[in-house]
Amino acid sequence: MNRRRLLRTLAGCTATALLPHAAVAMTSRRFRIAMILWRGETAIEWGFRQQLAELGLAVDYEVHDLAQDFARLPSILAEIKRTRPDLVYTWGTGITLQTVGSWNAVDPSRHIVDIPVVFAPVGSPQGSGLQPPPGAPPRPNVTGVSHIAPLSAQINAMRAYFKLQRLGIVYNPSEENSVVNVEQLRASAAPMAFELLEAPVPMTADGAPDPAAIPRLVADLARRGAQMLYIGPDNFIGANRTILADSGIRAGIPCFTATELEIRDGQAMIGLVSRYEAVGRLAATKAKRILVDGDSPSVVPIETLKHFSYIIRLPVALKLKLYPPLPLLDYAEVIR
Amino acid sequence: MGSPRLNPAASGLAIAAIALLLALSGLSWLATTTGTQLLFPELAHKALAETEQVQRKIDTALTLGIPIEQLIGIDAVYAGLKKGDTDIAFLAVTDSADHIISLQGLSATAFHHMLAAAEKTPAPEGLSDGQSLKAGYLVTALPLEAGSLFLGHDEQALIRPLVNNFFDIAVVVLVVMLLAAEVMLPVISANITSPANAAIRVLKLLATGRLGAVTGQNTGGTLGTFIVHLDAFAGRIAGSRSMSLRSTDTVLVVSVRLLAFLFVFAEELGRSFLPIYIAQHAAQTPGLNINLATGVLTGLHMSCVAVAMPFATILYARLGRVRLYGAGALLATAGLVGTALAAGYWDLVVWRALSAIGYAATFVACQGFVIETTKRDNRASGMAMMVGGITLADICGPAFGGVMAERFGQNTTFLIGAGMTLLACLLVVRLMAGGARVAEPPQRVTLRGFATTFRNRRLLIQVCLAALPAKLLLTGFLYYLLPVTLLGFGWSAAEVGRVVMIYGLAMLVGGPLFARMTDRGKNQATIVALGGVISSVLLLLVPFAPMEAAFWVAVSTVAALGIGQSMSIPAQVSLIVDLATEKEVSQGQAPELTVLRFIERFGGGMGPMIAAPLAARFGTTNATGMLGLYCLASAFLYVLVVLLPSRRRKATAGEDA
Repeated sequence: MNRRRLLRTLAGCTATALLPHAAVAMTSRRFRIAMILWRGETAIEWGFRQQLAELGLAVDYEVHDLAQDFARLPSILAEIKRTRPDLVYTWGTGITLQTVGSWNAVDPSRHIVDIPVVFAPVGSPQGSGLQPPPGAPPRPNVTGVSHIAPLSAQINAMRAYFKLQRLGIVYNPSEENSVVNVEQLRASAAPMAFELLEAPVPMTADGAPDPAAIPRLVADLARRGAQMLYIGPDNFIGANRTILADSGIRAGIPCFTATELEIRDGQAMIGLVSRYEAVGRLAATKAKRILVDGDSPSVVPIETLKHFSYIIRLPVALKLKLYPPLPLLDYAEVIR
Repeated sequence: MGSPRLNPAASGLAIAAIALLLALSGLSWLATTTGTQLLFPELAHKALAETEQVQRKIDTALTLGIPIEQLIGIDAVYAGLKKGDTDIAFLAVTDSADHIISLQGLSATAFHHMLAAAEKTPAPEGLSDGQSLKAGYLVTALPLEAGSLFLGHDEQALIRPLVNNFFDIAVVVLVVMLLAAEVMLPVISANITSPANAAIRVLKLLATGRLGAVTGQNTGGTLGTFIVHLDAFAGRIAGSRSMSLRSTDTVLVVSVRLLAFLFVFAEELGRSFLPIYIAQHAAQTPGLNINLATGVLTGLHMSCVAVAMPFATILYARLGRVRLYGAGALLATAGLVGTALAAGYWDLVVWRALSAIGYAATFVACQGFVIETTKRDNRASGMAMMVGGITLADICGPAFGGVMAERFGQNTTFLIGAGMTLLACLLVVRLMAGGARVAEPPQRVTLRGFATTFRNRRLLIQVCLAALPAKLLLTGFLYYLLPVTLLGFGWSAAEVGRVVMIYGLAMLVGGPLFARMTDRGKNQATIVALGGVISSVLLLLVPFAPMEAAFWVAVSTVAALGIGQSMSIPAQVSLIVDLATEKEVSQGQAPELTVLRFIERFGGGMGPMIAAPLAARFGTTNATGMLGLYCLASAFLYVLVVLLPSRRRKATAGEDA
């Protein structure tokens, strides 16, 4: 017993003795990270910066904010290619796709192919084409973090609240993100024993989805017996979340969301979400592996968090008279 | 003596036993009632804490604005509570107007009846505000933001720990009584029974006019003074022809009982938790398959004993019984201390092996001691004396060890065992010394013995279809699967030990009973087959038994195993003696018997080694069923191969006549 403990103690001492050197090694170099953002810095970037600082990395950030305008992106990419930072951080599916391209449609003249890229938050890395399908080799310079809980966990989260049988979804059929999401929901409907009621948003004459159709679609879903409206990774629905949630409340149907924004800054009743800060911190650990440990992005896995937050927006629940069960109150965060 | 008067030694023993029993009962009663007073407030406090937990949960929901009549999930809260505390009987939530909002575990009528029932008076100490004993429940009632909450615990459950305490105390009392009897037996035998018997014999000889005998005894006290005078008188009459009556060997044989008891008891202390103890060490040692490692080491002891015995027999001739027993007891002490302090799996292997070698040495020493101090005519009773000590240890050891493990920890229990073997080591010099020093070591297993046995086809069938399955069942089921299953169900080591004890009790009661039946009936093979069926058939039901029935299933299977084996073992010995080639078998010394014992012990070690991987693959209850199936199949095969042909032979013989 003593010998084993002694050995363990010795091993412990050695590791501790090595630590200061490692820390010195980390801080001895300053890294340059270029950030491409959609609407300024969010809690994700705060978590990213905080984590890297805590890991002992000295970083100079070059922040490029698109201010929700994709037209600005090509010039930013050209500058990045010229100045060659150590790593590029991209925000969201749209920016990441335009920065590195789909896995099977990479264009070296447009896309960044020889600088490591870490993305966050991307709803469905595989569905959007950023991540190669299973079996295909990983991308050499791309890794990142998804902020969406696995679909089964989301369905179970709804079921922790009440017995879900029919799930409604209003979605933009012209958005690939959203279409992929609906396909995944369809695939899990039978195995998880629920019925998926779909309501694609019709297009206006100029080919854009029509927000004015949302109340009618929700009322229609209510008539078909939907018990819950699902808000997935869909930029159009995200932008029109208030119309959707209000229509739902009028029809007596609550919204469920997998992203933090829709419940913190919207009227969804329940959400199973990643905390943005935690998403940023996980992305930072991937950046550290690439910058300090010298790992290729191809061996750093694209991941989602292990733990998610269950959030209940109480005013909506009270208004709909859909009261949260007692056991949920042990772990859910209640927004009052 | 032939007179109906009470034997003074027996009545002395009875009086001492009764006095001890009364004293221990008084102490136990005191301990139980003190325990009641100390434990009740604890239980009431726990009930209050559980109710407060539910109260907080519901009040949180109410302050969030959820109306009390709309509370959802009280049933789930109740189910969660009940999972942690099976003694909870009901949960009720009422609104401010005392209407029932939710009622779990009780009907509305029963709930109202409970509310209306009178409180038990005087209220026991330790109840908090809002707690009362009524209608058979400990009711804890707390106010809610809007309404009330009631949590009920079964009143019977409150005394459950006390009942458990009572069982623990009863086991300790039983063990103390038996141990006292074991210690008193040689003392009384040496100081009272034996000199008194010698004096009676000398007086009888004098009365019939045969002079020349003296008792040769030298004990103190009044009896001693009388004997000294008697010897002096007898010696004066006989003159130089006086001759001492050395009939004192019974004293010595009686002491073997205590020695056998001590070394088996020390080993049996760990019986109820040994597999788990080993598994804990295996888990800490990297690179091991825990199940296999545990099974192998649980069985290793018995196999080691089998292998070490021939060597111990060789050493017996060189060292003599006292030194061999002393060395064995010291080795066992070291083995048990090492077992208690082992850091990992591999050193545990060494300590268990050491302990097994010590066990083998002490066993051989005791066996040899009996052979040396008895003559042909009283050897069987001498052996019975030793077996008696072992059986008592089999009964007390697991139960007592379980209690000790529960109270003081598993390591300490092994240390207590080490204390026992050390005590034996100190006692042996006094108890085994003297007596005849005939160089007649116990028979040892030899290659020739094996050859003789294996040439005998009927004997081989006996070994393969009756002896081995019985032993595999004993070690695989009783020593491995049973403790692992029951500890896995959340039983305490003390409870497991009490169940294991039933096996010994069944053997104790059944052994003499069925031995007589075997002698009378002459139908040994039938009894062997019947014993095999009885011991295994109930095990087939184990995989299908619900967990709630675990207690009765465990008790009935272990009792059936004990009864079945106490039927088949004497019958097997008798059969093998019949089948043996040599006629020198009346004292249990046939080479076939020695080989049988070796195969039994060695094969017994395989029991846990087979049971463990089976349990890992199919679960312990299914593995138990499979073991039962194997033994039942062996019994049926035995019927086909042994019983039916012998019936036919008899029938044919009858026709010929």
